[in-house]
This record gives sequence, structure tokens and C-alpha cells, in this order.
Amino acid sequence: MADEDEYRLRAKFLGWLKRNGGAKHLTTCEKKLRHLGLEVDSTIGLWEQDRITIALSRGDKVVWLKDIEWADEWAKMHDVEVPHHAQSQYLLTKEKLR
Amino acid sequence: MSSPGRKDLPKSIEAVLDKPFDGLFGDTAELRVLQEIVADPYSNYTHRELMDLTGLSDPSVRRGIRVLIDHGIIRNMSSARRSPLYRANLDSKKLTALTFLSYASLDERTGSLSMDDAVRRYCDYIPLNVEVLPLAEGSTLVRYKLPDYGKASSKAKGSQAIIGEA
Repeated sequence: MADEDEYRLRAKFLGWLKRNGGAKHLTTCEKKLRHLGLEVDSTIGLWEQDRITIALSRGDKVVWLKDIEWADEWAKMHDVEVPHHAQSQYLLTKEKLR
Repeated sequence: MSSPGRKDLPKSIEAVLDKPFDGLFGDTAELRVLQEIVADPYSNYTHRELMDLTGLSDPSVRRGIRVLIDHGIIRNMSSARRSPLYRANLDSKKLTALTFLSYASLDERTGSLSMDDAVRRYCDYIPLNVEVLPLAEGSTLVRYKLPDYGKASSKAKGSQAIIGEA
């Protein structure tokens, strides 16, 4: 994953959160961020709180994606909105070139 | 119980928190693994990572993976038998449909338009088999060749739908 740029990784995180219903426990988000090679502070902490914020659910911290449209724009910009054939062809080509 | 400045999660979101596909199909180990892959089909996953991300036990993840492989939703990209590396099959229509479903659930709760946007964008990538044939002077026939759906629907094979005349 080291060859992916950080902006695409952030787009993947936002897409992951969106497809998980727009909210996930902070501890789960930390695991996903680690999986992507990102840090909480340099990701969630970076964005404005009216777009993504930490809320409480029964006393637990939950990351809440408030601005879905904004997350959609990230996904579109980095082509991580919906899986499609061209993406698989791109991956195949990339692997062949390695 | 709120700490100062920290907002409570809206009840509509709290009700579906951590439920795969908003709880539409229940909440099983297989669904949790599936939800994880649908949520990020662009990453690779080791067995251990899937356990960590889903909070499931080794046998539960194993069961979930087997189902997803059987349905062609994920593939093992590793040739090393002892260290499998799973990746979503981006050609899987089931995977795409489930992506739309996850957007549909979100849209119906929040009023967003993620599914509509995603469907539109997906259509841009479908290679349409369109032919434009000249007819009489100044007119053309736009013909869309229907895909071959296999033996089960052999009547559709090679048939055509006229989608416009000009």
C-alpha cells in the first residue's frame, strides 16, 4: 500500500465509513486507519468538524460522517466510489508490469 | 452522559450502528466479513486483518471467507498456501450491487444521493454494444445488442433492442 498516495488512502477511509452507514466506533476506525497506513490525528483530526466529527453513542466515541456529499466528492475524485471492470483491468496491468 | 462540546449520535444512526447493511439481513459472521469487503473493496486483506477489522474469531472469518470466495466476491491473490492475501473481485456484479445497497441504506436515512451518483457513474463504465446503422437518406438506426445471458435464456441471444431512430 506504500505506493498509494495519502489522499487516495483518505478517500478510501471516507468511502469505508460511508458504506458502513456513515458511523463507526472510534476504536474500529483506528483499526481501519492502521490497516490503510494512516493515523487518526492526521486524518480525522485534519477535517472540519461539520464534515466529520466524534460523537457519543451510549458513552462510546463514534466517528460520524456528517457531510455525505463531501465524502462523495472525495470518492469520485479518487475513483473509489463503486467497483467496476476498468479498475480490475488497471490492477491486472499494474501487476503484469511489476 | 455527554461530555461538554461532544454531540450525541442521532438516534437514526445509533439504531443501525455496527449492523451490516443496516441490519437488513441480520448480523452473522459471514455478513460482517462481507460488509468489510464491500466497505473497502480496494484494499488487500490478510486473514489476521479481517479478524482485527471485524472483531470475529478465526473460524468465523474462515467461514465468511469461504462463502465470499464461493460467490466470486473475493479472491486469494497469494500463491503461498499458509499466508493467503484476499482482494475483492472488482468484476463481481454482486459486489457492485451490494455497494449500491450500502448507499441506498444511507440515502434513505440521511436523504443523501450517494446511490444515484454511484449508479450514474457506474453506467459510464459499462461498455455498451451500440451500433449506428444508416437507413434511408438522412435517417439512422441506433441498435443496442443485448448481452448473451447463456443457455438459460437462449431466446435473448443475439437479439436486438432498438433504442432510437433518427
